[in-house]
Amino acid sequence: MIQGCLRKDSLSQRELYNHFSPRMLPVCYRYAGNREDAEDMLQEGFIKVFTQLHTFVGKGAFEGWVRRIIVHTCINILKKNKKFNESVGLEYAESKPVTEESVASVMQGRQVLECIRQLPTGYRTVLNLYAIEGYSHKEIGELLEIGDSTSRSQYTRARTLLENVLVKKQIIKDPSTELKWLAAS
Amino acid sequence: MKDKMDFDNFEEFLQSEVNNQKMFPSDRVWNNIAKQIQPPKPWPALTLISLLIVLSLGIATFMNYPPKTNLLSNIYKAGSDRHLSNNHININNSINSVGLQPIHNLTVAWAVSKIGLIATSQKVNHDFIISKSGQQLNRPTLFNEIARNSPVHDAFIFKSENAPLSNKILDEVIDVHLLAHPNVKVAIARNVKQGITSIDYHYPNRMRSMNRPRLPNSIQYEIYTTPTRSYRTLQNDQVLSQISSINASNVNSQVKQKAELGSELGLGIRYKLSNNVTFKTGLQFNIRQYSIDAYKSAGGLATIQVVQNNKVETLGITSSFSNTSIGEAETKLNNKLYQVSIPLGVDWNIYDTKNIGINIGASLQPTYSLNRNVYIISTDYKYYANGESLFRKWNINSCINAGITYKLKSATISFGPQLRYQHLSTFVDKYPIKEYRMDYGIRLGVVKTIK
Repeated sequence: MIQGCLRKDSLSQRELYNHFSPRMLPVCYRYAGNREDAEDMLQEGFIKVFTQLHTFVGKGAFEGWVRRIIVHTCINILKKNKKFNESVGLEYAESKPVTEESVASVMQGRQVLECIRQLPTGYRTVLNLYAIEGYSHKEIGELLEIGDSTSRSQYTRARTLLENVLVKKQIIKDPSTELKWLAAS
Repeated sequence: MKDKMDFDNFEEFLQSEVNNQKMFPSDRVWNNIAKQIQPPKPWPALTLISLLIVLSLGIATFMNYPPKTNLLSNIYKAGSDRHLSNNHININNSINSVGLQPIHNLTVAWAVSKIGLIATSQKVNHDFIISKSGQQLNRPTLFNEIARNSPVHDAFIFKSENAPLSNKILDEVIDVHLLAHPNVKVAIARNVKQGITSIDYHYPNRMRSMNRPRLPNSIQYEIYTTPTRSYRTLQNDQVLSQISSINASNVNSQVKQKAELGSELGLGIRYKLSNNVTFKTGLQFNIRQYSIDAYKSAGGLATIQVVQNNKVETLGITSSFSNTSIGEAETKLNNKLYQVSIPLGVDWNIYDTKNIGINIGASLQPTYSLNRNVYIISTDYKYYANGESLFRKWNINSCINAGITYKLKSATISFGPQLRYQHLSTFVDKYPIKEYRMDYGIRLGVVKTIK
C-alpha cells in the first residue's frame, strides 16, 4: 500500500486514507474542539502524510509516524489561529454545566473524549500531548514555545479540571466521600 | 466507574479510553486531499471543441463544394463579348478580346488580368500549355493528367507567332477541359494572321461518357433526437469472483433499481455508398440514467474488493447509504451519465418508393463520459459508495435502429425504434461486479441532401 502511494496510485492512496483516517480523526477532535475544525486538521495532516511519505524510512511503526505528523499539524494550526491565550481558573469546571447534548456517544470512551474536548484549548493541548501522546514536558515546551514549568502547571490544572468534569459525568467516583468515611471510622 | 484515587494511572486510563476510538470523516475531506495530491485531470473541453469545429468546417466545405459555375462561361471571359453556342466558338470575338498585338505581350497581359492566369516570361516557339501554378506542360502530359481526372485547372494555351493553330489541337483541349474540369479557364490566343475565324468543337464520345463524381448529391447531413429509457444489468465476473471473497449470489437480485428517462441528440454526416447503402458518422450527446432504491445509513463502511494481478485488495469507503433496510429512511440514488460519442455505421434502405421507405441501421460508437460520480455497490452488497475511482471514462456502445422514412420536398424524415447497448463495464476491469447500461427509445431524424 505504501509503495503504491509512493507511485501516486490513487487506489492505494485512498486505501491508506480509509485505513488510518478513522483512528486519526479522534486525535484531531481532541485538539480541535469541534468536528469541523477536526476534519480540517485531518485534511491538512493527510496532505502532509502523502507529500512526505518518501521520508518514512521504515523505522518504527507506520501508524506512529502518521500520528506524529497529524499531531504536529494540529499543533501548528492551533498556533496559527492563536488559540493558546486562554487562562482559566480552577473554578472553571465547577461553573461550566455539563450538558447531555454535548456528549454524543453513550460509550465511556467517547464520553471521555468529549470531556477532553470541552477543556480550554491550552489545557486541552498540553493534556493531550503529555497524558495521551506521551510527550515530555520539555518536548511540549519546545513544541508550544513555552517553558517546562509552564507546561507542568498547565497539565496539573488540566488534569484537575478533567477529573472534576469526569466526576460530574459520573465516569469516575469522587474519593472525597470515601476519605470522610475513613476519617470517621 | 473508576476510582479517582487510582489516578496514578490517570494517563493510562485516558489512553485506554480514547486510543481505540474511531470516527469517520465526511467525504469532503478526501475530496480535498485528492485534489491536492493527485495531478489535475485535463478536461477534454479543447478536444471536444476542436472536434466540433472540424466537423462544422467539414459540413460547411461539403455544402459549398463545388462552387457553382456555368460550364461555358469560363471560356473567353473578355469583357462582355461572349458569343458562344453549344459547339461553336467565334474566334473573331476572341481575337478582339485579346487584342491585335503579337501574342506575347498583350495576350499574356490579358490572360493574367482577365482570367487570373500566371504568365511566363519565356519566349515560346511551339504550342504548349501553362497551368495556373506556373508549371509548363506539353499536350501529352496535359491529356494524361486529364485522363486520370486530376484537376488541371486554368490552363492557358499559348501559341507562338508563326506556328499554325490547328483545329484539332483546340478541339481536343477544349473538349477535354470542358468536360473534365468545368472550372478550367482556357484562353486561346492566336496570331491574327492565321485567318482562322471560327472553331467548331464537339464533345467526343469518350469524354462525354466521363462522369464527374456526384459528390454534392451523395452527401447528406442529419439532425436526430431520441428520448430513451435507460437501465442497467449487473454481472459477477466469474474468474475474479473466485479469487476474491465476493458474494456469489446473483447481484441483480440483490439490488433494487429502476430505469429512468434519458435522451440523445446528434448531428450526423451521411455519404451514399450506393442507392441503398449510406455510411453515417457525426457527433452525438447522450444522457443515460437509472435510479437505485437505498436506505440512509449512519456511517457505514462499504467494503470494495478489487482484484489485480491475482491479488485481492480491499478498500473501505465511508458510506451513508445501505442496500438493506435497518430501520433507516428510504432514499433514491440516481446514477446519471453525460456522454459524447462519435457513431460510425451504415443505413440500409430495404424498401424505397417515391415518398415512403423503410430502413435499418447500425453503428459502433466510441463513447466518452463527461462525469464520473456514480454509486457503486460494495462487494458484500451491503452499502453504496462513490465509485469515481473505479469508473471507466472511455467505453464502446453499439446501436441498432429501424425506421420509416418519409420524403418531403427538401428533406427526409425518419421515425422508428432504437436500441443502444454498452459493451464494456462502466467500471474498470479489476472490479468484479460488472455493470452494462442500455437504452431503448424512439428515434426521430431529419436528413437533408447537401447540394
